[in-house]
Amino acid sequence: MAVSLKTIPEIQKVYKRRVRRQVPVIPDEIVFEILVRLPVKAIIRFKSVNKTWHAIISHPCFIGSHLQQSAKNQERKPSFLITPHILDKVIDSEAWPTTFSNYIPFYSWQEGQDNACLVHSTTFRGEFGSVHNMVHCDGLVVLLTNTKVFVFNPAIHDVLKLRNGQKDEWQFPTVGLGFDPRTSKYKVARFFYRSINFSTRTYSVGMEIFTIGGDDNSWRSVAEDPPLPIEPGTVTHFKGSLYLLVWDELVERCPQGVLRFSLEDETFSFICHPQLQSCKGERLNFIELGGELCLAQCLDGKQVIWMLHSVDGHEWIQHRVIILPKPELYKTLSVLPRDVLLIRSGNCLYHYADARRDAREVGRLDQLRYKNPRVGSFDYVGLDTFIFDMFSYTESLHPVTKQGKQRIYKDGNEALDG
Amino acid sequence: MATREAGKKMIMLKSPDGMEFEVEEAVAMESQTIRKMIEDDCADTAILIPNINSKILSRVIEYCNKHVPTTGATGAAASDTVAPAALAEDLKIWDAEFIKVNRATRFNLIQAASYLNIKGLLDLTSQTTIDTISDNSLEEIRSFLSTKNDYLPEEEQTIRRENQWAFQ
Repeated sequence: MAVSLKTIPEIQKVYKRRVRRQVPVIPDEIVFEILVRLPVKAIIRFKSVNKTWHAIISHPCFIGSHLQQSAKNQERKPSFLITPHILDKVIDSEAWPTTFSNYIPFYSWQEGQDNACLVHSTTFRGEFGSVHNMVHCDGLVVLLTNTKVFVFNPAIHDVLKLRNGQKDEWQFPTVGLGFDPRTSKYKVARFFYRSINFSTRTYSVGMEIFTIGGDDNSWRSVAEDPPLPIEPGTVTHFKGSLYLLVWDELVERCPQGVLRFSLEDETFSFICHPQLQSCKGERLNFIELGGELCLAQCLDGKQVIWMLHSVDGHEWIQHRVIILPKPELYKTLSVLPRDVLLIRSGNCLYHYADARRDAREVGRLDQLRYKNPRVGSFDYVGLDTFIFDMFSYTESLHPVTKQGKQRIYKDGNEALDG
Repeated sequence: MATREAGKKMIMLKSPDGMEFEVEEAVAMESQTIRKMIEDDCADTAILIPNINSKILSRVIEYCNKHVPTTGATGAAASDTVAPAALAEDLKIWDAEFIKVNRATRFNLIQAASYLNIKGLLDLTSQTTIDTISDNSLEEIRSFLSTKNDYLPEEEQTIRRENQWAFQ
């Protein structure tokens, strides 16, 4: 965390100017240490304090340190991002609605609060009909729609619309988002079916990558196709890799396990998990618990959580078994302080403590009040909502568009040069 | 390296104004910067701590003394009789008392904690400052942190306009 700002040339200029002054001023290291602990909104506001502060805030090194700090805050006091999706009109015959509202809001919420507060919203005006599960990584969010893929950094109000990728013969899109430590860039990975046939169990699956902040601003095909078919909508990021479930309906005598895609060298590897037998994909979900990757397997009335052994990364260890109140589909969201798990079933949130071995209802997403501080009123209560996206949220200053990059980085340097 | 008690290595820390402080190695190693020096064997004699005067250094040592994990020679926790929650609560009260210092001292402490890389002290001192400034207007912040506004009025206006949402 202790980054010596005096080594950063553009700040050094200002620093030298500073020390020559007679009036005692607050050193830049202190400004750095203070600002890095602030929420994004306050930081953006404080760019207007003076040019030195602007230069500090605009530096990539500050953005990285801020994200680390933000992750620590998240451990101490978890906050969540919630997006309610409403339908413009209800058509009963549809398997999956095609009438989703094109208004995409993001609300932040902390446990125990009755209100969730609007962070950012965008209206896309007829760009899409259906939305699918959002994916997230380090404060960035990917929205999947039936037409386009959008990347958001809600904290800095930055939205990127990705170009169309290759045609997908399957109706539900599958996209992952993760950080490549080698290039220090976020990558969006899109999986698509060139052909798919369940009766003959034949398919052709491909994959393409979009690098956020990359030079080419388009999808790039990955040399190697995925070695097995990918179960739609189940991509999770963990420490520089994407983890994917295998679509076993497309493979006869499917090997039991999951796929890992390294964002660094863009290659696949298979991780065996013999105990996964006879378990449908929709009852599995990945989750990060205590800094380790886990796979939650939802069985009737209980959830078994497997932890991937971090040393060799190839062995699953049964971490714990959660006894659930009803035989429904539950999703573990996050581990809260004092080793309490937050789990979700539909719109209902539960706390699960190992000591008591029971799940207690702590709130409902459709009963929260969604507050818009700009107008000082509530946007809507959740009752009209079709589905909620909800995930653990780490605020970031990382831009996703060129304009966002200019706002965060470039004008800081211009202000210094001027 | 001086040795006072069996099993407890002592380290000498020197401030630039010539004061010397003899502290237990475990206490000094609360600072990641000093820990690294010790681990790299650069700490045979006294360690000079530049830029931190004796007044601030003594406060930093006071903090580290309080926060060093209380383990005995056998490795067992010395606080077996005290519940961890009560211990944490006690530390919190102690921290709140410790940080009741004037602005200049607090800034010096932030700087020292940053240089010596003492995470807990850095969090404590910075957070106290944040609690004071986060809801204040820009003018109040400039005056509180004695920092000047060097923007031309039109420059400031442009930046504010671009980030209007953050002011709402």
